[in-house]
Amino acid sequence: MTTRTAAAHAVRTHSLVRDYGGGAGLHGVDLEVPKNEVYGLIGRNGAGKTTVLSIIAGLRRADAGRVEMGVAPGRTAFCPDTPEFEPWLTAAEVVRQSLGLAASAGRGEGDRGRERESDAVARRLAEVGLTEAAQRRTGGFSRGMKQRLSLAAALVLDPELLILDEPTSALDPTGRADVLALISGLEGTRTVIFSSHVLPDVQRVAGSVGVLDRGRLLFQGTMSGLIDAYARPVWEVRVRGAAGPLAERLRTLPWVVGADAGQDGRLVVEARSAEAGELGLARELGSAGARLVSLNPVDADLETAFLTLTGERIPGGGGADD
Amino acid sequence: MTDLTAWRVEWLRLWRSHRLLALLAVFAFLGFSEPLAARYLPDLLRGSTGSRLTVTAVAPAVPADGVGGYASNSLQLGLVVVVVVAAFACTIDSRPALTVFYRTRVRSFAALLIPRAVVTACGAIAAYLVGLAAAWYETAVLIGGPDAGAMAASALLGSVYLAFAVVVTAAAGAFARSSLGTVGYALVVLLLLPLVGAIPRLGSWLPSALVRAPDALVRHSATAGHYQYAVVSAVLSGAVLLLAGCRVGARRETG
Repeated sequence: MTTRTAAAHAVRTHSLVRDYGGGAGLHGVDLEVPKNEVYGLIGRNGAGKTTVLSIIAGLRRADAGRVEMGVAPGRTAFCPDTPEFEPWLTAAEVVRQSLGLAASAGRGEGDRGRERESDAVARRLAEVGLTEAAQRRTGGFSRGMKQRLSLAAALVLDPELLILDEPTSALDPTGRADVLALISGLEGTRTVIFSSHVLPDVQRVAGSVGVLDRGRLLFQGTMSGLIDAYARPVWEVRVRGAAGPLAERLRTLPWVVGADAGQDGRLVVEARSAEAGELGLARELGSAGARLVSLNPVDADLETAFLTLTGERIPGGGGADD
Repeated sequence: MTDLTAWRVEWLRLWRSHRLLALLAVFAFLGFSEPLAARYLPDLLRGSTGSRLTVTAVAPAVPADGVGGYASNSLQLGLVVVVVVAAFACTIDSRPALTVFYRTRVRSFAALLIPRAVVTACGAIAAYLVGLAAAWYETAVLIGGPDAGAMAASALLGSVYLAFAVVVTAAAGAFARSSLGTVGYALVVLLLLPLVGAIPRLGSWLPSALVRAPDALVRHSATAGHYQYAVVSAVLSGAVLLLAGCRVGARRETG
């Protein structure tokens, strides 16, 4: 069941359940998406991200629980991860079709309410970098181009809530940077729910984050709150001279979990907690008389926090689970 | 720049995907070939058998043979093509990602299904009429002019039946997940109807009675009035099927 609310949240779900059997699905998800923020929804394959997004978008039904919408009816746009369009329509026609369908459903005029349709279509295609392909039929588009077009066709509706399911999964680095900048620019005027496996992308654009695992919400809050709570308290220290003696000294301290010296005066220190490290490391470096060159936090990112939270082994690099 | 409404998109689907061309080609071929076959059938038989006895058994062609042959084949062979074209247009959920695009922009499933059914039906009727005109012209040239009133009635009743077939296919499209599944469901219904029509007194009430109408009309073995119940049942059952399709489609999940 979906209801409307005038709260500060664009979307709230209450004990959302969708059981696909065998443990798959959602098992009581309480999502709270703040209005006019970019909300990152992360989780492994099969965690339930697409199911949550589909239920919010009205494409699937929940077995139990309800969705409370804080945006006007018909002001939601949804971009699936592998969008498709009629192959015999051009990119500009797809955006015009998006406007035409929404207008026929009485969903408002979108961008057309403020400017001429042709201007609105051209502007949205330019925003996603498809100006040159505007008159090309979409049948020959790559998946990345379709993702951009999907975003243009959604933005032209001027939605209050934009749901993006893996919107950058097929984009090249330049395209990804462009789209992320575009999404980031929506903050403050629109609510965006952004689901992705590419955790650095989520970290870059999302102010709030929800972590789904096996159909349950493990964490929900600010991005900084998640990183502070779950990232490993590890620092890379670089001192002038050999780092070995300093590492031996640090290993004797009760708040130090490990201290490994490397080449060129480098030293990696892991503390029992972020607070203990933040308080103790600078003090100890000072009392040891070390000549500090640099001090940087390591693994203080969403990926580390995600892996810690979901109990996954921290790999050498790469995405959490592509 | 004009609005790209659902109706215009459906026209573009018919035109740019060459489905209208396919329909026109099939019906025009039938329209030109049937009078030709009717006119030269005795010669063909003579050539193939070499026996004068066989030829004497074939009656000389009359105008009704040319037009009637087209009417029968267009509502059988042509019907299959119409069903295939309608199935690929009306099976909205056959491509899930594309369905998401459509369903998240409209309020009702009817807003998607009805334009597809109506525009496809118009395309099918236009192709049928083009074929009928071709059959009429060639029959007039090769055999003799058929009765204009019977031709007009044939055009009307044949069009009603094709529209009914498209609606059956559109309704099937709301139940099926694939275009081929839709073709299967629709053909089963359309092929079963004449069998049900074999039941005494029921036949004239079923839309399938319209399949034989054009041939019977041009041969003057029936008048348009004979088919009034079939027309009414085609219109009513078509409306009910379309409504059912819209309801079923609206309840389906995607994404």
